Amino acid sequence: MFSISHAPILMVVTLLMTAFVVPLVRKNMRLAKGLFLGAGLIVVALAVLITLEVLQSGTMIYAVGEWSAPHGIELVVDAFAAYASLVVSVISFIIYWFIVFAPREVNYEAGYYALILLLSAAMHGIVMAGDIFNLFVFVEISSLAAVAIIAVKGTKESIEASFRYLMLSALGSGGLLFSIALLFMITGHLNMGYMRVALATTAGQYPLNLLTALAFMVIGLGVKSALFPLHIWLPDAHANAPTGSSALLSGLVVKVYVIAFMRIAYMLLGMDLFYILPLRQILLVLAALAIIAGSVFAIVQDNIKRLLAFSTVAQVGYIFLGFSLLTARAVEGAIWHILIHAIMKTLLFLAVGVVIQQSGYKKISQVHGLARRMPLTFACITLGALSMVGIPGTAGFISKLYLALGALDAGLVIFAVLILISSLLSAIYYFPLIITAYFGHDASPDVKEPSLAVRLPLVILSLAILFYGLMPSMLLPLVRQTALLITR
Amino acid sequence: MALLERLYTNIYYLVAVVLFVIGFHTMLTHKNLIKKLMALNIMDTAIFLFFVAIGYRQGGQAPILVPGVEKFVNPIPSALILTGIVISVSFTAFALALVVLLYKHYGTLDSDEIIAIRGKKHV
Repeated sequence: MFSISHAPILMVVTLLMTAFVVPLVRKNMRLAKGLFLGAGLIVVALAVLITLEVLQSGTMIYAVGEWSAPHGIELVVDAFAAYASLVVSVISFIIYWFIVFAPREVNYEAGYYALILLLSAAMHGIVMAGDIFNLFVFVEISSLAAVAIIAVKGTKESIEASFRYLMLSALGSGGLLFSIALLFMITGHLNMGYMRVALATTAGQYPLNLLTALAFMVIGLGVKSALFPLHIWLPDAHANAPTGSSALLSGLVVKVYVIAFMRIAYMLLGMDLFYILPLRQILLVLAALAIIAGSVFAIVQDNIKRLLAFSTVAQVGYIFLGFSLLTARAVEGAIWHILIHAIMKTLLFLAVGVVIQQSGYKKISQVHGLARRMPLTFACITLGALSMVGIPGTAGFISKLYLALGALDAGLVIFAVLILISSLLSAIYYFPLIITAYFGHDASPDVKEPSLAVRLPLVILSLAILFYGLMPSMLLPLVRQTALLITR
Repeated sequence: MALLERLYTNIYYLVAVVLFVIGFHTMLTHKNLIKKLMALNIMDTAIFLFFVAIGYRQGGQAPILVPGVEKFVNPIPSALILTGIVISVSFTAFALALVVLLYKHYGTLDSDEIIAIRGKKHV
């Protein structure tokens, strides 16, 4: 007996259960890989079903174990949650595919699959949670799994990077838990909807509690989503992870925490607080700094993966910028950017990972003429880079256009200028890679393209970039509905 | 006098904040990775104490409905913190495992030395 109303919890449960089963069947790797991909595919199907359901009949609320709020735990699947779980499930399935078919980078493969499944389960949980403590638990699962999929590479650098990530992540968790305690103190609830109702009457009585809670929450989730200047762990962590992990961490994980922050903002705090308190200005300034600093640091990098990691810092800035501008088009731009940056960064990390695996070259100065040996991979990298810069016709243009228009709507012309400048900066840091690869002296002839199954995800992601660049209308109703949740 | 009284009634919150600051300070200033981890645990404990103190009432009983008991302690924070403790334990266990690996690779537990060793290789 299957009813669509159970689909939200089934996504989490499928991934969690598979995560426990996969290491048990490690003797039969073929079966383990099948289970891994199968679970991913089931979750994609469930996410599509949920999205259709939400578009048709509005927000779904699932009471776990039939214990309804305020005593039970709820999953609130609104347009934002449906959109986020669609993005997470589809992009992570593409990454699963790559991990299964690419040459192995870790020793204990079944364990690696299990960690990735745990991480995905936690990400789906975070974007759907309606109960703030439940959200915290999912945040913890995803933090631990995210650190583990870096450490699993086992090199000196990756262990050091993952330890630093773990410590800062734990600090962030502490901040988040502290802010939950302060909010629970003045509301007496943990369900975000009920907390909001209680907050309306008690916020005025206990302004200090609310302020402290907000400060800890911005810092807690800011560390985890690498909001400048709390990004210091990110470049090392993302650059030293295995290819699939880098793509997953940069493309999805940091953004899931932004989504968590925004869901807390509109479900629990109410967007008015952004104006009453200086929260909006603080986030705008931090986002602007992130965009500039991320781009400037990226320019001086020679290591390609570090360059991509710094670019992620800048792109997270874009998403925060769109959300904190709070005009309809800016929020839509930020929501678009969650998807489009996930596509672009996953493509770039996977393609660069392929280049490193096939040639052993990790630096821009080493890739001379490689494009002639690996034409398809470098075509994909070029497309991803063009989209990052925001050339019209690619997906990156759409989200940047929305963000810039949104900044103009808000009357803050400086942020539209900032987006233009940062596009130029990203051209400065992406083009050397492409120019060296295409026009450098000839590379050694024994470097070849990878197998067809490894190239397939790259091609699909490239097509997605072109598709959303030329016809962005497919997800538009969902993006509009999501933006309405925030700007209403 | 009024200040002292206020401090006394909020003694658990006060201790929680003091513990938090001790943990945070130790974590930032000490170089030894194990000490950093211990500091992290102190910080976590501070938050747990704070959370549990929210639900505590002077002279309150366990929330089991029996005749004659009117004043209850709120059980929700305690239940939540049970989860929090488990999470903190798994964090610590995982971090200690990483410390062991770090020691194998770098031969030291001093965070400055580790950065120095790693930095040399980068350049």
